[in-house]
Amino acid sequence: MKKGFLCNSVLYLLIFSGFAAAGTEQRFIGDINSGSLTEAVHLIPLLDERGRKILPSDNPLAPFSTRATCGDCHDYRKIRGGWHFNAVDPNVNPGRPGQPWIFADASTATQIPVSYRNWPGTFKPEQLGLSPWLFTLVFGRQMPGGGSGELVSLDPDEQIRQQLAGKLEINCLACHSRNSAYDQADFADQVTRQNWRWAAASASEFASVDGMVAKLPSGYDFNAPALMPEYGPDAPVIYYDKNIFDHKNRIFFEVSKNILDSRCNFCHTRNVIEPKQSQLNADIHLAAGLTCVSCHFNSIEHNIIRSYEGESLASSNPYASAVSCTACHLGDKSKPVPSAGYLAAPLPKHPGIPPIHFDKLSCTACHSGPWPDMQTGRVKTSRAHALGTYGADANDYILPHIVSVVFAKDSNGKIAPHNLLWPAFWAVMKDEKIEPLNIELVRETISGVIGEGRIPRIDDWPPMNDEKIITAIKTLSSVVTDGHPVYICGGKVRSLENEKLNVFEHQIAKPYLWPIAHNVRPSSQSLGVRRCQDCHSTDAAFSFGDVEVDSPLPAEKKLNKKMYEFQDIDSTYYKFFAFSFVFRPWMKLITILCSAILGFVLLLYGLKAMNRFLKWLSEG
Amino acid sequence: MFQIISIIVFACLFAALLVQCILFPVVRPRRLSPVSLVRKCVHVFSLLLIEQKLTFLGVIKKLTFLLTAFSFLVLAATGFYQRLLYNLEISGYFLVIHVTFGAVLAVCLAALSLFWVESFRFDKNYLPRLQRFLNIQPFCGQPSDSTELLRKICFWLIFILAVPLILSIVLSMFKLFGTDWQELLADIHRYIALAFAVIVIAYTVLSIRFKIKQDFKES
Repeated sequence: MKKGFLCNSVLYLLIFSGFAAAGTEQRFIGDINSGSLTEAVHLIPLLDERGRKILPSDNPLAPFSTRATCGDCHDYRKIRGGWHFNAVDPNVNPGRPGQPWIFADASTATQIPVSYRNWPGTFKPEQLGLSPWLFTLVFGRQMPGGGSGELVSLDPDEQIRQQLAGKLEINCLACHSRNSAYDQADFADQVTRQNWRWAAASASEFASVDGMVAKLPSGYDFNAPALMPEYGPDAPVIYYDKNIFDHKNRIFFEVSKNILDSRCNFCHTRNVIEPKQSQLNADIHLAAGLTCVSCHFNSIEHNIIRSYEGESLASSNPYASAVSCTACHLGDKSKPVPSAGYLAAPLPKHPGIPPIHFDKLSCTACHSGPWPDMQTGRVKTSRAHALGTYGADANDYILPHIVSVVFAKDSNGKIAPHNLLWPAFWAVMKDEKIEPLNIELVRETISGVIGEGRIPRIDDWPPMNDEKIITAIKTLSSVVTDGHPVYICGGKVRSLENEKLNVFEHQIAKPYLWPIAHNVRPSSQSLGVRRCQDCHSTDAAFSFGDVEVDSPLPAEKKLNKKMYEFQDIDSTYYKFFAFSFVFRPWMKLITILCSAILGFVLLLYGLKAMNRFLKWLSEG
Repeated sequence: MFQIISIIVFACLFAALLVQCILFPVVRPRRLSPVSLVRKCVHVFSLLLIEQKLTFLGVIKKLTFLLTAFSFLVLAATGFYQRLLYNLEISGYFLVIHVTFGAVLAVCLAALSLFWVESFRFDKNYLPRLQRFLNIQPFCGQPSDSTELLRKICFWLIFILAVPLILSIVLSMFKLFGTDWQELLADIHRYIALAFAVIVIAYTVLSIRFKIKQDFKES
C-alpha cells in the first residue's frame, strides 16, 4: 500500500513537473529587457557548432557557430522565425509582393523571378530544379544565413555536400556587427566556396579562412584528413587573431541593436542606372538623420517591419501598423492620443491636392524613386546583380534587366512606383498549362545553341532570333517527354507549330512587378509640386511614359508599353482628362470672374434692398 | 452620410412637390384625363421653345436659360449619380463632364444674374407681406401671388448659393488649402450642391406652375 502510494506520488510529480516545464517558455538572458537604454557589452566565449568553447590553443581550430555562441543568450529558434529567415516556411503570410530572387543566365537567355514566398508571378525554386542546397549556393551570397541554408536536401548526394559544407547558420554579424573590418563580401565568397560552416567566422574581423569545400570530394573526412592527403590544402582552415582573446578566453563582439545602414545596403542597395542624376539624391529620411532600422525594426522575433500600408494584416509584429508613411506623417486620428510625428516626421499639408489623390495613389507614387522620365530606365540591385560581392560584373547591361520606375496598381489598388522584370525562360507546355523547365537541363541542352556566335557582352542577352528559338525548342523536344517546350520572353509565349513559331499571350509571361519605396525624395521634388501637369498632361511620364519591354529578341525591344496599361485605366479617358488641364487655368479664371459678377450683383441688390428697407422703417 | 442625407432630402422634396400638385392644382377644376395630361406635357415642353416674338436679346436670354438648365441637369446627374447609387466619389468621365459643365453653369448663372435680376426684385407689392411677417402693422392691401413670391425667393437663393458653390471648388484648385481644408471645401461643395439642386428643382416647378397659371389667365 505504502509502496503503491509512493510510486503514484513519484509518477504524478514527474507528470506535473513535465507539464510545468512544457508550460514555461525558456527565457534567454539576452532577450530579457531590463528597460535600460544602454547597449550590452558582448564579451563572450566563442562556441563551436557542438557548443564547445573555442580556445586559441585548440588544434585544429574550429569555426565559431553563431547558433551556439549567440544562441547561448538569445533564442535562436525565435529568431529563425523572423522575416529574413522564414521564407522557406509555407505557413508564413507572404504579405505584399516584394523583390524576388532572380535567376539570370545569359547562356540560356533566362531571367526568372524565384521565391519561396507565395508572391503571384514568382516561381518556386523547386519548379526550376533548385534544391535548397543549390538555391543557397546561387543566392546565399546576399542572405544573412538561415532559411534555405539550414534546410536538409532530399538528394543524397547533396546531403553529403551539406555535411561537408556545414549549415549556413543565421549570421548575426551580417546585420549586427558595427566593426568596419567585418566583411560581408567575404561571407558571400565563403558561401560560393561551400565553406558554409566557416562563413560567418571568416567574415568577422578576428578570423580568416583558407581552403574551399567545393574542391573537396564527397568522400572527404575532416576527422581523417590523412586518408586523402592530396586534398589537404583545400580543406578549410580557420585562423583567429590570438590577441583578441582575454584572459578568460572571451572575445569582444562589436555588435549592436542599432544596425548600420551599410549592413542593410549590402543586400538592399538599389542602384539607378538611368537617370544617373537621381543617384545624387539620398533618401530624405537618411539625410534627416534616420537610419534604416528607425522604420524597419523588430523585437527578438526578428519579424522586421516592412513599413507598407496594411502590413498589420499580414505581420505579427505589433508595431506593423505604427510605422508607415501615413502612420508617421499623418497619424491615426481615431486614436485617443496624437500619434503623428514619429521621430519628428513633419505633417504634410498637401496644398491644392484634392483628397481623391490619397485614395488612388500611394504616398510613394509622388515621393519615391527617381523622377519619372518618358522612357523607363533600369536599376541594378544588390540581390539581383550581386553588388558588393567579389568580382561582381560592374557593367550596366548585365542580366537581369530590371525596368524602373513603372507606375502600376499595387495589391491594395493604389498606383505606386514599381520595379518590373520581364520573365524570359524555357518552359514546357501541356494542356494550356506552362511550367518552367529545370534550369540545369536547359543549360546542358541548349546553351550551345543559344551561345552560338555570341558577342563579348557575356552577361547581356545573347543575340537571339526566331531561328535560334526554333532550333532550341527542337533540341529541347528531344529531352522533354511530357508536353512540348516553349520559350517565354517579352511578355509572350513562343511555341513551335508546323515548323513555325506561334506567338501568343499567356498569364505566365506577364511581367513581375514589385513596389519600391526608396529613395524618398524631398517634398520639393515630389510629383505635382510644380503644377498638376506633372502628371495630368498628355506628355506626362506618369501616365504616358514608355515602359521598356525587355526581351532578348531585338525586334521586340522597340515594342514599348504605355504606363497607363499598368494602371488599369482607360487610355482615352486619361488622355481626355489630361487634355482638360490645358484649359484648367482659363476655367479657374473664368469661374472666379463669374463668382465675382454674381457677388457684385448680390451685393448691389442687397444694398439696394437694405436702403429701401431702412427708408421704409424710418418712414414708420 | 452624405448619401443618406441626399436621398432623404430628395425624397422629401419630390414628396412635397407631389403633395403640392395634388392639393393645390394650378387650374381648377383638376383635369386628369389622358388628353389633358398630354396637353400639359406639351405645354410644359413648349415653354422651352424660343418664341418668335422675342427680340434678339430675348433670344439670348432664353438660350442662356436653356443652357443653364441643361448644364444643371448634367451637373446634377454626374454629381449625384455615383454618390447616390454607389456612395462613390465622382471620378472618371463623370468628373471630366462635371468640371466642364461646372464652368458653363458658372458663366450662365453670371449672365442670368445680369439679365433677370431686375425682374426678380421684391417691389412694393410685397410690403404687405413684409408687414404681416414683421407684425408691425395690421395687414392691408392686395397680397402678392404666393407662387411668385416663392419663385422669387428661390431665384435669389439660387444666386446666393451659387457663389459658395463655385468658390468652394475653384479655390480648392489653388495651392491655398491643405488636406483638411480641402476636405472641408469638398464637403461644403457637396452640401451646397444639394441645397442648390433642391432650390433649382423647386424654382423650376414653381416657374412652370406660374407660367401655366399666367397662360391660363391670358386664355
